[in-house]
Amino acid sequence: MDSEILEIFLDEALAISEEWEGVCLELRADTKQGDALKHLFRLAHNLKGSSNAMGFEKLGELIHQVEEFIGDIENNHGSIIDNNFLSFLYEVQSGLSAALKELQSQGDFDESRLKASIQSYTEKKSFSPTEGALDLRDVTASSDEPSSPQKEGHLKFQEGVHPPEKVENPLKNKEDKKESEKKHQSEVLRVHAHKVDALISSIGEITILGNMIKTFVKNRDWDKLEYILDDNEKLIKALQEKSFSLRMNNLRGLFQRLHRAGKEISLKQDKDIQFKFIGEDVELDRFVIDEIAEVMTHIIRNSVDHGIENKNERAQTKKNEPPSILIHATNEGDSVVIKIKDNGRGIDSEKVFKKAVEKGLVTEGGDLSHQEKVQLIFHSGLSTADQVTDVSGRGVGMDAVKEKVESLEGEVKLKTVLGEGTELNIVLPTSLSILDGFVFSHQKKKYIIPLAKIDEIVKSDEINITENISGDLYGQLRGETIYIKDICEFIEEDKEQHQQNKCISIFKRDGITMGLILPRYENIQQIVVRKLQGKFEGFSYLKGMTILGDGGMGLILDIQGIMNCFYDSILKGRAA
Amino acid sequence: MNDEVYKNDMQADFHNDSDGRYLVFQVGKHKFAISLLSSREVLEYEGAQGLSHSKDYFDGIMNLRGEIIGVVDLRTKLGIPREELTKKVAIVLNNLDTPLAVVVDSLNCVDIVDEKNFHPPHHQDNFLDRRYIKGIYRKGDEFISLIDLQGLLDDADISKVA
Repeated sequence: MDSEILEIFLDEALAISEEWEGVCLELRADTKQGDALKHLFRLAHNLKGSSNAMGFEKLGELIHQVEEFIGDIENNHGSIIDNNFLSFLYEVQSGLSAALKELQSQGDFDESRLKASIQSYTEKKSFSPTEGALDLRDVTASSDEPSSPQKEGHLKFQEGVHPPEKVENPLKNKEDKKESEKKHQSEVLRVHAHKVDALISSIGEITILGNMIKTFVKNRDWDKLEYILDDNEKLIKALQEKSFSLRMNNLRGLFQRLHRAGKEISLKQDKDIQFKFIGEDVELDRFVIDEIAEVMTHIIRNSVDHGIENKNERAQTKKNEPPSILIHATNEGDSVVIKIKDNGRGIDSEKVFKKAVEKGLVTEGGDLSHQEKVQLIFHSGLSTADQVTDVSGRGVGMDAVKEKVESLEGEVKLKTVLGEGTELNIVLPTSLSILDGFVFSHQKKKYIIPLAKIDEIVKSDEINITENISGDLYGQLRGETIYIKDICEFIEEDKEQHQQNKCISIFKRDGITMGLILPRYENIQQIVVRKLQGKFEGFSYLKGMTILGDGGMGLILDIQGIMNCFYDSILKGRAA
Repeated sequence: MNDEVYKNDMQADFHNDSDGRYLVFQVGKHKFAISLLSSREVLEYEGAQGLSHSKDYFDGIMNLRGEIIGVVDLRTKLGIPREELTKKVAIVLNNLDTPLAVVVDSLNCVDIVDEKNFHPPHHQDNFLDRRYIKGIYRKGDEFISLIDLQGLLDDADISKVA
């Protein structure tokens, strides 16, 4: 067996086992444990999936049973667990971790311990019917009741003895809070030790350099100082890269997951699709990988289910090439582009348009191009499958894909040719915390647009700006019409009167070209993004803030949101 | 009822994070105290960079050694009339979900006050929502109000509501 894949499986499974234990520790018998059970269910489900993918079917089958037990508790017992079940959950964990450790050290394992605990639970379960458990619960609940009812309002004096109905709320809130805190904490990174070592040694070097700098400053040895500051800069850059790499992961795991999902449906639908994966060594922020895994799976399912025709249809349309789906990841500048391309039937833009009209999303007479019609597929509540199948069409549509990707500062681009196939490009930033920014200023404030989002920057006198009756601005660039707005409209600033000598940043989107007039170009520099915290999130036109090279503050604009506004206003203007 | 509980809890928390030392500052003629431990740092205020779409009492953001801190003008927030005195001191606060500082006119002193010396607030200070005045203590012939800045700021928006 491929040892690398085995290692990935072990990493994942051990993490699940650890997380499982953590969740179990939070569980309490005889109370409602909905969220925790869902959590366990998800863990079991994931583990089952990867076990089966690794060919550990026996393990997968056992985990499947555990999963069913959990589902049973959720469905039939209102998520209330008894001690019996709780200890079973612990046994499962120890059985699992024993098996995994064995696998790790000996390359093989024996799941009999896990099997035994499952069997013994099954027996116990049939012995003690649920009614018994319920009775038990009633008894414990009543014994907890306070001996003397307290009057409301004088909580000060009620140390520890509260009427039960009042306890419930604050307690529950506290638990919820704990839960959310835990979620933050539980984001644990598994990092290779050598990466950490490299980081530590880098920091050591910087400390030494720092001492040298002090000495040179003391001796007023400027030449050497300048020399060493250069070194320092390089070291810091290296340190930056090394620390970012802690958060990075390659796409191998994701690809494996996608492959499995695709193959499963392909087999089910007898489509015999060839999957090709390129670029599994491309690295992305782990958080981003986790976040997109679900939508990527959704896209693959879509491609298999809707994109690729069935065998008969393919024969009829005389498509000789075997059905295939290509998943291709590449680094492009600051971004990673993941391309999903199939050679299926493509998207029928007229069908999408008709559907959108039916649902009242657009008016029939609207003058939309092919590309714009296709884009409607990203509108929420639009599924073009004639029939909802068990594979896709469950409400999560392309709009969810788009939303997710945009929430990660990414972009979705769709190209499709009817009868020939569909290509979806997901563009994601390599890192969420550092970017090249285009800095412009307005009334002493400095604003930043991520350079990667801008398609082109032109001077305002290169475009002949005209204004129509209603005050909308248009321009011409290389024979193309550009819709133009002043950025001040979106950031609630007063516009400057004259439009001369300004920059216009060009954004292309779904066949429409938009230009934003930017007041005063400053420079382009590398930006370390500070996310908006707490109340700062109220500034909806901002995405983040930063400290610029001169010590001043820069405001990072939510250009995605601004573009959405702009785009919507154009579509609205056309419909009118 | 629930509100009552909440308030009591707040009061308890408020006193708990204090070690008896209070930072006394002045806005207009009014003197306020906050628990010394709820302030992180005090610095000379040199102005902030404004943000569009913000409330009138939000001065903007400032750079505190690489950290971005929002600045609330306490005088405007409390509705205390503007006077000759210019604001000069920024108190950076602890334990807020948003890093914030308040700007006050001047810093007076650090007082050590026993909890039993706090009295319920007067009604005369009606310029301010009394929810945030937790008590009052006497120092010479002056009254100093214990203000719950954390609660005040937690409840306040800094951006205009869209």
